[in-house]
Amino acid sequence: MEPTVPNGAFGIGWMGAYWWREPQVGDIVMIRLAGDHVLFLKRVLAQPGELVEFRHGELWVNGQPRPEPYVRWKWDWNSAPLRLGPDEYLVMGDRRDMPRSSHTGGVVRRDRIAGKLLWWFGTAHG
Amino acid sequence: MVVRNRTWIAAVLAGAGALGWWLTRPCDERYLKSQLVRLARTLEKSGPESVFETAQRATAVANAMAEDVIVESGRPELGTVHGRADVRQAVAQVRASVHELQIDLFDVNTKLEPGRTTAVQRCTVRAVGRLHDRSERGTTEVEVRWIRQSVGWRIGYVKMVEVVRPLPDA
Repeated sequence: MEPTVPNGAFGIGWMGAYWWREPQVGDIVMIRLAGDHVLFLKRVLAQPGELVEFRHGELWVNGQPRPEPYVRWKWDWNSAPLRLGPDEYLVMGDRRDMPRSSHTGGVVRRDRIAGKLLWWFGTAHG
Repeated sequence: MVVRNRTWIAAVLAGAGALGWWLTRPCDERYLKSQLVRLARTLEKSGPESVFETAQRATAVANAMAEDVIVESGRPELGTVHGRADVRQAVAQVRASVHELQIDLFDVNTKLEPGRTTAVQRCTVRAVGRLHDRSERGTTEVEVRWIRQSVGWRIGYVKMVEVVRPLPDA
């Protein structure tokens, strides 16, 4: 999640954040792998049912460009349009200065979203 | 009074013994977890090694697999590996391509299926490979299917679980 959350930063997440509400666009969420000891941190870019696409590094949702003020550097990402399923979210990191194939980001199922990052502290060098 | 005290001490010791046995009793779940950890340690590389050692480690990893094992590596350069012999070759290739390889396992969950002849393990694997001054790291969820054979438990299937699915290419 660099540059927003530097590598090695100390953060506090709330696992109950989505017990009663759904993840919102812009939330930084924790994504569960086999358990809760190692989690991916990603930003929610689009919600279920939305049509998503990247055109020359810009995010387009439902045929409209969606501003992303938190992204500082962009690579020329392009993807085919994709309609998200009923329990699918589009998530990406904020660091996009690399080819899309080198970035861990894309579509994630709702049950993989473990919670929300509330607060973090750390410098660029951890 | 002395008899009563002795009875209490004997009961406490028996209870502690039973608890100790229960905590350390041999069970398939614990055995399979230890085997997975052992496999990860065998895969690791801490520095330069001889061709002989590379072959020895690759053979040790391959020996934990069933003859017809399938490994879906999730890496385009490796693809899907079929069979023990190809696993041996792929492991030797990976070891030869890095100077150091560190593997950490987290959240190892083992579930034996009914009949206790097959088991599914899921865990999070974090790997760091170093080559000269460059290092590459990756974190993924891995599914391992074990099969109980006449020679013991062997791995029949390994798959990298795609938690985050990339968007389709334009």
